[in-house]
Amino acid sequence: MESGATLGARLAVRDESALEDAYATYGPSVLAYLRRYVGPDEAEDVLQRTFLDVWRSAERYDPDQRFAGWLFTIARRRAVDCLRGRRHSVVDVEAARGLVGEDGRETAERHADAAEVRAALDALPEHEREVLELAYYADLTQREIAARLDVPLGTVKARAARGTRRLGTLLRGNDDEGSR
Amino acid sequence: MSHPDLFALLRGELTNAEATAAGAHLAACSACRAELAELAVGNALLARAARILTETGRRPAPLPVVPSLRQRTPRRVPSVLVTAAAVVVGLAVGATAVFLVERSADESAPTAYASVALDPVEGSAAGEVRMVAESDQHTRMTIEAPDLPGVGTGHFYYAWLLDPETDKMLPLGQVGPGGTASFELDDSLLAAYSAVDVSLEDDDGDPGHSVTSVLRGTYTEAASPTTF
Repeated sequence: MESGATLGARLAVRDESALEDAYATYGPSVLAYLRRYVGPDEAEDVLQRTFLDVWRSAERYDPDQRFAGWLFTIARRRAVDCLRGRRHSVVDVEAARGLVGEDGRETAERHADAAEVRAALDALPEHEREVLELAYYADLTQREIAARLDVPLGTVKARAARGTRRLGTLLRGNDDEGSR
Repeated sequence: MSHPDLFALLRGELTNAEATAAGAHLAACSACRAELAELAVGNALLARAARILTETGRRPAPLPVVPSLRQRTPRRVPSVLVTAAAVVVGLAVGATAVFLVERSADESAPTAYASVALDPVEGSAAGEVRMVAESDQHTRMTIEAPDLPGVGTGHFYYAWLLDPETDKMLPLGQVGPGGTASFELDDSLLAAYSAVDVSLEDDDGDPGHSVTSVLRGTYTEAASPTTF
């Protein structure tokens, strides 16, 4: 898996394919975050603005900073702009609390964490990714996963253990390269 | 004793007896302790990510599909890349203005959430259910089963949500003559069921489900995070 720091470095030298890669890797996570805090109607606008901003300010990316954290900081700012720009509609208090101030920064950091895990999951072999998603995101037991996928329980166990180990290693690799 | 299933231990899938036996085994087995240390990290990362994504108290929604960066039709938004390239060659102001204006005028298509096959229960007709997130809390469910055979007078097709485990059912509405129907549903309601059922009903004034299911599809599977 390409580390975030490498992506950031490629962006900083104006590598257009790095923008596409960043969008493919983190776009869905950023969009999920934005949908929660600015609502589904405006989330895609804010997503586009976020990545436009990423491209424009890439040379200011500090490779010692975690890439996902930097990205979500930008997304949070654009989301706050979006709420400020609303004239008529009432701003949802919960949504505003999730964006503004120290709470907002922490929420963005948490989502950056989840986005890194997501990126690592996507980098796993398909069979392992599938099992882990069913275990953690759909909350199924290994036995239920075996039934769902129609594969032997032993196979599910092997994939679950291998994938979990590999995922830990992938994120550790990230930290080594771009320690924050 | 053979080595315990450490992933199951971490996930809370073992019985009390199995879990305590695994603990005793670990005390004596350094290979398992090393394995557990590795698994614990991955488990912690995944468990927390799942919790972050459920902060609203719901199951992690499938990650939305992002619009393509290079997506370009004449009336659509200039992509970020195109805009970004314009910024690079010094057209920043104009390009950004176009970008924002066109973007706000654009009616972005709703994101497809899941598509579920309706399989025949009785007969051979098949169909499809599409589920599209309309907003944070609503999903539009569209049933299309064009090859349902005609039913003649006194009969009609009716769609239901179904929880096969408890046989709880929620009446949705009549499936039209072309085999199509569309309903807007509250997500919390949708989450309380897991399958769509189409039944053949007699026009006998009985509001309950008849004995004849013709199509059925389970949507929790398709909405599982494989579509993330």
